[in-house]
Amino acid sequence: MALVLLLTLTLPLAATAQSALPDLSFEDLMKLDAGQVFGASERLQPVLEAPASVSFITADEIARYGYRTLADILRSVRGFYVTDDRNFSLIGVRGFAKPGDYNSRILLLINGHRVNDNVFGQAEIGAEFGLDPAMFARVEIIRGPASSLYGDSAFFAVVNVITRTGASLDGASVTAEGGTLSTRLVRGSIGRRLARGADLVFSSTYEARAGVDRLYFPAFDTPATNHGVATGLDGERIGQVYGRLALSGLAVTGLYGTRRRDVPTASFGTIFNAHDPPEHTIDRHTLVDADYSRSLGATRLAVRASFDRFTYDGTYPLPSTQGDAPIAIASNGVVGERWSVEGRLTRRLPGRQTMTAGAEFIDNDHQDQTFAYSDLRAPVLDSRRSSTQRAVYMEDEIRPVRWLLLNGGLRYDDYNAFSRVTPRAAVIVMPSSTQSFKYLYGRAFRTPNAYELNSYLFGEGVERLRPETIDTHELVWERYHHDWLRTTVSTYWYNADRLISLIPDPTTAAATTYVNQGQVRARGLELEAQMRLPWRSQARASYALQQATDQETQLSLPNSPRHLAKARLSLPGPIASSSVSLEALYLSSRTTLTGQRIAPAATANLTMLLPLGRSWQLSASLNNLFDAQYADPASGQNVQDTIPQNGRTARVGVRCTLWKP
Amino acid sequence: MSVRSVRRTCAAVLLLLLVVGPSRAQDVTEPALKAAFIYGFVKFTLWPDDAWTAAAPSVMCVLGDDAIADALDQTVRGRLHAGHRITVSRVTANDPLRGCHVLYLSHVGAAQAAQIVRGLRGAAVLTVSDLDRFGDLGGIAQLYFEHGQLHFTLRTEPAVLGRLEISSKLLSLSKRP
Repeated sequence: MALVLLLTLTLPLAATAQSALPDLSFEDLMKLDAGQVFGASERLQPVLEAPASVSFITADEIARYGYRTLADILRSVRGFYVTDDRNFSLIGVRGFAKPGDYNSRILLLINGHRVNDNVFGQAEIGAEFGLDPAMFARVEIIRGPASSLYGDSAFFAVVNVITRTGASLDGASVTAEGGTLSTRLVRGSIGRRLARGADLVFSSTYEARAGVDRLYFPAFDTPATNHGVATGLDGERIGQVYGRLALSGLAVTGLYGTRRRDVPTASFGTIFNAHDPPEHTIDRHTLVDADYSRSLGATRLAVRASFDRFTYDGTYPLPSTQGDAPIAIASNGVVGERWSVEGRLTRRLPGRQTMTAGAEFIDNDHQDQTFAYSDLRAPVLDSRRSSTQRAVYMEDEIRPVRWLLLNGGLRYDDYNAFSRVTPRAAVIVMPSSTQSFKYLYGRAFRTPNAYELNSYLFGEGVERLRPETIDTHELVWERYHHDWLRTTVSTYWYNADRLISLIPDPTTAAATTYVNQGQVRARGLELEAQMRLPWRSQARASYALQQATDQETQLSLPNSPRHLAKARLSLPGPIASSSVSLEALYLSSRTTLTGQRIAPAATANLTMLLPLGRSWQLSASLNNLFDAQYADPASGQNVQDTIPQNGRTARVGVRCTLWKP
Repeated sequence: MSVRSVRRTCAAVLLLLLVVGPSRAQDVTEPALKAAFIYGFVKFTLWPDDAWTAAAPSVMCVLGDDAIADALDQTVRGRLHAGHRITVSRVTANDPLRGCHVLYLSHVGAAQAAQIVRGLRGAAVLTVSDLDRFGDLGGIAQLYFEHGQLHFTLRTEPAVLGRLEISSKLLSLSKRP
């Protein structure tokens, strides 16, 4: 509140100091961001008119703040927080981040195409995402439900990653980085807009780190388990390839990413500090996506066809129950593969209307899960699943008078076992072209995923699972002040019902099962100010207040901080085009699954970019600058209640431009 | 770190930023940015001498987009074009458009846009639009967005016919969408 007051008081003062846009050079004008969003309505529209509260992160910001994963990026965004269990990163938004969940209530898109896998429904945001953030042109964060446009998983938010074009790279470069925790990275990239409008980009990244050498977990502090110290079990290895070719309306994007992560926490009942083999997981993502769009008079036509493949291999050393061997190795294999086709028409109609209609067909030809033990001959689980889904949707935007926008959307989704109709509506009042007031209502759903529907693990009862739903209301006030400051005030309240929840069930193989039984109500307030300052400086500050309550227990949700505060500032460095960027993040205290309260977490990161001549750029980052000791709540698959996070780490890099046309 | 101290830190950071003093307009709305581009085109284009009668103003016509017209009003306030004062005029397709120095058109169909620019062939009118393939329709400057940033592409043939001289600097910044 103090923040808003302060802004309001100092605005007139700042406004008098600003100079006008027409005095800027074209080069500077072309660097400005006019706040266009694609993912809110599957067409480009100004953020003020979008039926959602939207944030962006640009390629320039990713470089300035040294973000290395999508998780780093989302951590910096208003109202978002990330919980790391030293294997996967869980997104928290609007007070909801149940430890042990697989990010299936956030829809993750690459260039508008769904990349949540079709087994866990998971949005993978760590290094396992499959695409190097250096190849992100822009990340759109679209808050609120969007199932009326996208169907499944667009529950709390949609995150749309737009990838880089050859024109934006315009040349070839290699990058090498090294840092603490034995971190090393090599990246090569080349891109160029060619003759006749063809645009080509290719990039490849290898990254590895040994991680924290000795991690201490008090829950395992016994002489038999190395006094709770996991040694040399925090390593990660990543390989990523990305390519994109665009030619007159057609864009073909291909990517492959693989990550192997050692797991030091002895999750899923594995033997603590086991090395032969260590507990580890391997995630692989493949995507080939062809997107074609063209204008036919006043109609915009878009069609796309995509192939996604996701594989997951988990290796778990467990105490053996058979024969003489001291350990048994459990192997969990997952293959998720799908083909999808989509068509969409957007047309301007008389009476200031814009209508979008689309249809989508998805063939999940593999949703397979296997589970085998080294001391048993036959696999204990060999589940081959496949399914199809169909959907049609429509969105209409009407502007009856210049200052009013009415937006309504509806989507029908047909699954093999059920169907859903989801609406969204928005009333947007724009007293001028620089501010808007929005009332937004939307319903969204998340279907039970193939993992939850596994009757071998969770019993026959899971076949009765139905989608969980959420109804969200939101009031948003967005304003541009004199072309240098953008402020947002947003308040929301939601009711999430029939949440698919894990409960104990001694009759199943997993001793747990999934049922539709949770209900959560929440409300929150978010404030944000984004500023462009003199000498190419920029700053952003945000605050979120949130309260999410489990309706059964009337308690706050675990891992749900009441306050989130973020501030960041990027200043010009000592030489031309260099920058020094500081980011501070604060999470208030959270409760763990056992109800224990953990201390608030306050961290700061510092990144410096230093171009040297035409060909070289040095970078240096210090993460967790003040070496804050903090932990995230652990999930039910962990013995420990909290998972300690990294202290201060450092990273330096050099980029050499080999060719610049 | 308590909530209070966090708020205090945030307030301090903001205060610091405001003391530094913003003086550079940057993060912008779409109409303000488009208006700045249109005004930029005017700065880098030469009109033939007979494009004005003595004390007549430079006329920027806007068809189909009141938000752009409003933003242009703000942009050109107190500015001159080749010594002439600038007026912004909201026009329809039926108005005589040859009296415009600049015509920005938006929210019209491709056929209608083609018809309008055909009617301006040989006239000293700098046509600008955000319509797809505006150059193919006979227009001069097309504005388009890429990753949230505004770019433009230029066609010189209709400009040459209208005796408009577009500076090489502008041409060098023109891209093909």
